[in-house]
Amino acid sequence: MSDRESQALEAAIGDIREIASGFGLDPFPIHFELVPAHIMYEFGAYGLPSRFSHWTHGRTYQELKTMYDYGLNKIYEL
Amino acid sequence: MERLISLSRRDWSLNRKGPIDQARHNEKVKEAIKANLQDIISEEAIISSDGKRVVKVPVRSLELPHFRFDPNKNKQAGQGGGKPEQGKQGSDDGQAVGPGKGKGAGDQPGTDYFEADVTVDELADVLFEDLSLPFMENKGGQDLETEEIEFSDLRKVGSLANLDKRRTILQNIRRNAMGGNPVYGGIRDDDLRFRTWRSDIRRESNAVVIAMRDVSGSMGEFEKYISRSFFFWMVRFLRSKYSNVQMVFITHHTEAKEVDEDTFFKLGESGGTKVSSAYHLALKIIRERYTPQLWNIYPIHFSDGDNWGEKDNNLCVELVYKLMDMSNLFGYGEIQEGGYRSLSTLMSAFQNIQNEHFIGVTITDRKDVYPALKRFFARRDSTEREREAA
Repeated sequence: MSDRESQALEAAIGDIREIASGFGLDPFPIHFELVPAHIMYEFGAYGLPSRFSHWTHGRTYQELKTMYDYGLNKIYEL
Repeated sequence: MERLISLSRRDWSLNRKGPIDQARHNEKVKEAIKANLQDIISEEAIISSDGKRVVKVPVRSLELPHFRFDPNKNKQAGQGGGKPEQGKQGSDDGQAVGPGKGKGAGDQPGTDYFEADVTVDELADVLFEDLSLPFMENKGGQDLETEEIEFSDLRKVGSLANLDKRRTILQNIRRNAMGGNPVYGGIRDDDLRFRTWRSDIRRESNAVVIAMRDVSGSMGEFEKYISRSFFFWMVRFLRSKYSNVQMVFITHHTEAKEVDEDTFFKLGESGGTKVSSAYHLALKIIRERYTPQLWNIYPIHFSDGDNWGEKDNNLCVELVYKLMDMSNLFGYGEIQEGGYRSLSTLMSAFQNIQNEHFIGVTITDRKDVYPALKRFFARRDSTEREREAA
């Protein structure tokens, strides 16, 4: 992700927060972390971050990641 | 004020758990394939593929431990509509309890099994790992090439991927020592050492494989299929391991003829069987084109063993002795569907041949193809004859 993009992202997060408070919402503090795609799919495959290592997780990971690589799926929410 | 939003980034490149477990899984798949090779290689899909195709190999052994109902309880509970003999009983090792197989409808749900994508070439690599042409002798004419790549040379230039770190550091220390300070540091281009490979072409003697196939009317679908799948793997094996081995293809019923590879695999004919005709032709081809002084000769014959008459059987034994004199190994495979065995097959005529250069194999099931390959092409050294020659 380029610098410009990440600046835009940061700005957008701020904007969203403001809009939310405009609606009278009061969300908890939120921490965002930018991760590469393979980490996302790892979490998806393991079900939890830093879950124990097992080959069956590796199988799920390979399945999800391969589908992502071929543009067949995309994780929006986990 | 407390920060309500934060955004962070860090280096995730060291987080390799997914890929590591993935590799472990692939390793398990490979193991499973290896364990199931004898089932896999005679699958129809593989034999009829052109070699580039990816075949799906069912891997059933990658099951996780899980609880299941006691299969013996089924009998008492009297579940299911099928006859009990037709479903497979579950075994203690957790193998799938026969749901879809057999004729009767089972009452057990199917097990999901994993299908691995394997190319035929990958299969071949695993398969041919420890096969070779046995009793290979050095026979003057140097025609057969096998290439091996060996990292055995050092150079000052090369690709960084091949950097020999140990030698580079040694060289660096050596150079520093010449300046009076034998420590590591300040690497220069001059210190770099790269490993380079030498392709080692080993020349071996000429070899010719004479493949003989029975195409008579008595060869049923099963017999034809087995002999074809055996020769399919044999040809692949020879092509991948020996770049220059020659192959002669002979088909026979009551008459034998030499055919090209394509015809050899496709031919379906009918007629009686006279095995001696094939052996006669093999002898003739050897005499005309492949002198035993210059060639390693491997005649291999597949048949259902239904030969025409005792007389021809005896003639065959005689001819096999003649062939064995000239060749390094004579292989005979007899295919008998379901273990059915008539008394006057060729194999019983060959039974009395006691010679380590004769190998007879009986195939009764698809699973026997791989063991047969292994028996014919196990690594063996020439002992007897060399001792004789010495």
